[in-house]
Amino acid sequence: MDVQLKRGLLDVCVLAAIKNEDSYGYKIIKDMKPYIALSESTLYTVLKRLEMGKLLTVRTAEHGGRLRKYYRITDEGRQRIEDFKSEWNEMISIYQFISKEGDNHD
Amino acid sequence: MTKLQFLLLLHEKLAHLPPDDVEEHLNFYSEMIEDRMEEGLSEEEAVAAVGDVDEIAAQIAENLPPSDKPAKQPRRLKAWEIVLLAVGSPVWVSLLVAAAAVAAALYVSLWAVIVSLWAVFGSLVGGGFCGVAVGVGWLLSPTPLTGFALLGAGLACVGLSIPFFLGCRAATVGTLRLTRRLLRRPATAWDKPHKRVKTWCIAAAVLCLVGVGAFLGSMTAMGWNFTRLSTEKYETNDHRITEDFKAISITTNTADIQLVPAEDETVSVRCCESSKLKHTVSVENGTLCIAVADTRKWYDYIGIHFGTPKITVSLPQGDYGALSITTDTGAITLPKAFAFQSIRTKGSTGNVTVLASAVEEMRIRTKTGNICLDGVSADSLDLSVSTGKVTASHVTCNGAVTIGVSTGKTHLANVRCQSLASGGSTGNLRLTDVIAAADLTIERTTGDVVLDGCDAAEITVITDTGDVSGTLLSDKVFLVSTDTGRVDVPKSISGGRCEISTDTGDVRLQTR
Repeated sequence: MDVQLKRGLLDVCVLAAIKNEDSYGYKIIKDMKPYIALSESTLYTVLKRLEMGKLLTVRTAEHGGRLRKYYRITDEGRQRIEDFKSEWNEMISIYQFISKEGDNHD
Repeated sequence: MTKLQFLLLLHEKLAHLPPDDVEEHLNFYSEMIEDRMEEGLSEEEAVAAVGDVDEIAAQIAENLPPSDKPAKQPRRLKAWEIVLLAVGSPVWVSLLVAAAAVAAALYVSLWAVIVSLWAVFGSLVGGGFCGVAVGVGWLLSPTPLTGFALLGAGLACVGLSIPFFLGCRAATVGTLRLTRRLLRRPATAWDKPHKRVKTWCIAAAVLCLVGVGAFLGSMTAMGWNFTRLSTEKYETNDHRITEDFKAISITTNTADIQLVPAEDETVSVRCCESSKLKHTVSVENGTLCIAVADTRKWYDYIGIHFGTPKITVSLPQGDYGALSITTDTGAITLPKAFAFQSIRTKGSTGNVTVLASAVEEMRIRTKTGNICLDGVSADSLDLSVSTGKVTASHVTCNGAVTIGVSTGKTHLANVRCQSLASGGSTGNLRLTDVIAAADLTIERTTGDVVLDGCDAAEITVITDTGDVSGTLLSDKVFLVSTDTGRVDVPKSISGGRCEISTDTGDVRLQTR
């Protein structure tokens, strides 16, 4: 997949992974694995970016005798998902338009 | 690899990042590994699943936002690169050293320029203030106009020094900044007082205008005759002498001494005198004594002087006894009209011109100044100069002529004597038509020797780097030794000895 395109998608994917409940690093990777491949270092960058943009918040909690970081989506984060969904509807109509034109010439 | 090994290795790879970022990354990956281990993987498997340390480090570098670019990691040198560097090291190492030396020299010369600019500022300020102080003092002296002129010049200097100060300060600050930048230290912000600079410049302009105006005004009042700036007020006193005397002795410090033949048969001594500088003129034991009585203190010497005060001794022509002159600064002139038993002069700075003859010895000593003799005769002649020329022509001496010149030319023409010895350091020697009955000895360090139509029973010339050339009037047996010079002398086996030794000079002599 195109790098730039992937970067935009990853942000929203990670937000979606934490939409319904707080999650942590490894779980996010596991949840996204069927849909999109994500390496640890990429996830780190995405999480950092989302934190800077105030689209999620971070808290540290104890788990099994060690510390683990948990990520929670913010209202802005939810808004970002909605924005993406409406953008994507636009994308679908453009895609249909592109495909239709191509078909006519065949 | 264990988790600890992984984290240590990752820590090493990320060493170029800010420490906080590094800690975050390590925590993140530690968590990842732990989570996987919780899933059921072993430590080895969990570490392997997280990924390769090098790849992670590269990805982290890639994913960083542009503002956080880490420093480039030094790449390892390949084998052929190492060999090339080693083989070429004589070339690039010396080039590097030379370039560093040039850069250092440029830097030092930059500071040298700045230091000299500060020196100019210092002298403008110091001189300016002194001029103002002395000028104001002179406003109350018999020469107020000079004081006014000096005051004006002093104010102008002080005014000029202000822009100089600003310039020097800017140059110094700029160079210090450049130095800090070169040493990669953060540049401290220097405070620039902008408004105060303007007031200083206006003050400087005002001082300059006032100073120049005062100077021009006072010079115009004096009709632009610079000699009127002199703060000395000398009056000439005539001392008349009526007693008889034979010998003459003059002792003074700063005066030009001149003997002139008197129109009438009277003797008079004219001296320049002031309240603190007087002369005593008297005859004692048949000797005319002229001595200076100087009661000037150091502050009396602060002033503008033009020319040297003169002592003029006016005597009837004829023969006299011993003439002895001792002076510090001042020329000595003895005309042809007189002849003395002996002439002895000793001076520090000043030319000596002798046209008079002596029966016995003529001994002239000066440190800085030329000695000029013309048409004199003496029994023995001893000239000594430190810095200056010796020019002697038409000199007849029954005995020895000794000439010592440290730095300066010696030019003798038409000299007849018993023996001639000329020693010197730097300075050419030219002897034209000089004939010594016995020996002719010349010693020089640096300086060419030209013997033009000269002769002596025995000739010795020793120089370090001078050339020896000329013509001799009779055959000689030549003994020439030189280290690196060329030798061109006739090979004769009869005649007196002519021994020449030089280090690097050429020797070219002919005999008529």
